[in-house]
Amino acid sequence: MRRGLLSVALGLATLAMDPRAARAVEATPPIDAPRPAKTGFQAHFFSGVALPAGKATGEPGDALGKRYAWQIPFGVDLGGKLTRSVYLGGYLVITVGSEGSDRLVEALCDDDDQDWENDVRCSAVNVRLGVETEYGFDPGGHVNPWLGYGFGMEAAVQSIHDATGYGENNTASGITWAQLSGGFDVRNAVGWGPFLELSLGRYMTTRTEVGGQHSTTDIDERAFHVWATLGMRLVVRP
Amino acid sequence: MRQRSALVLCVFLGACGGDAGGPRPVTIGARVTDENDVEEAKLCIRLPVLLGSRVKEQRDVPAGFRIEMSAARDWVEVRFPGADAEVLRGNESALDGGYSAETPITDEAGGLHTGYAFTGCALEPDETE
Repeated sequence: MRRGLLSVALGLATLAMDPRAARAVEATPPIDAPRPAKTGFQAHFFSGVALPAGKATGEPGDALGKRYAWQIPFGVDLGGKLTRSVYLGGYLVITVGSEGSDRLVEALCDDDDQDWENDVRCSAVNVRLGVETEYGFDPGGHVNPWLGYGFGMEAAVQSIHDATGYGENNTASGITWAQLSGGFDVRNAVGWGPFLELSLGRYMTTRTEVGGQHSTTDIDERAFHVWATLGMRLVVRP
Repeated sequence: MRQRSALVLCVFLGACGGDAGGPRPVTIGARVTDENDVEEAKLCIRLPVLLGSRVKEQRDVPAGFRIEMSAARDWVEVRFPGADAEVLRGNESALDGGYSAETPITDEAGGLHTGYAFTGCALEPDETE
């Protein structure tokens, strides 16, 4: 016991006399101190729930929510921090869900013959791809609020296939004019946090496949729609 | 015995009726005949069912014009580009009740034809794949 106390006392005395050791102790941040802001590679992985709003086209009754129900997004952003606050990168989001509230399609997709077999397969998938930038307001803080803007391309695919061999796919594709996002990251070794994203776009063309026939047509009456996503993201090298 | 068991099971489970779902085939066709009512060209498509789907098909007529058909799930439009003819249009209510329309066609050489649009055509094998 006495020998142990002596060792501690000697150690403290050495530290007090050695200025290099003293500087090292001063430079070590406290355990709960925020990590310094990084530059260079950064990646985000996110998911949540995406809700449709607005109109798919300008034709009467063609609301986005009638075509597609709410969807589950799986997304990744890859890019880099140009400065401590500014991120620039690309995004890829794939969202999956089911048919929307259109009564006809809902009825067709409803397999209620109770034979315990799924005779009708209906699905909706949305893909968005583009570039985005984000600004972090407190990049070195423990909690970093951020806002982002992006733009790119998008395509929504809806399909219905039944046991008789009927198959129909409809792909609406267009431009995402503004992907507005914001949230805050809790910064640890890996960052995480909630975010809200509004993706404003407009479909330009439609490709339809019915049986062996397929047609691609321009959409004459275009309209704006929004995919509103609420979710959580993980940040690599926050 | 097996049938009786299945009947009892389906009554017990309430699984005897219902609908397997899926689209019912609705086809719409167009054809052109000459002055002697001899068919020169025909076209048959299946109407789509998804909101926003568009189908567009065309067929050449030997007299030097085309049949061009555009359709969504609730309307159809048949044109005869290259000839003088009215556009045939059918909306949702017309299609529901069984659509049928015709128009006289005059080709560039002055030949007379008749164009028809109608529901319930027979798909060719290469159109049903």
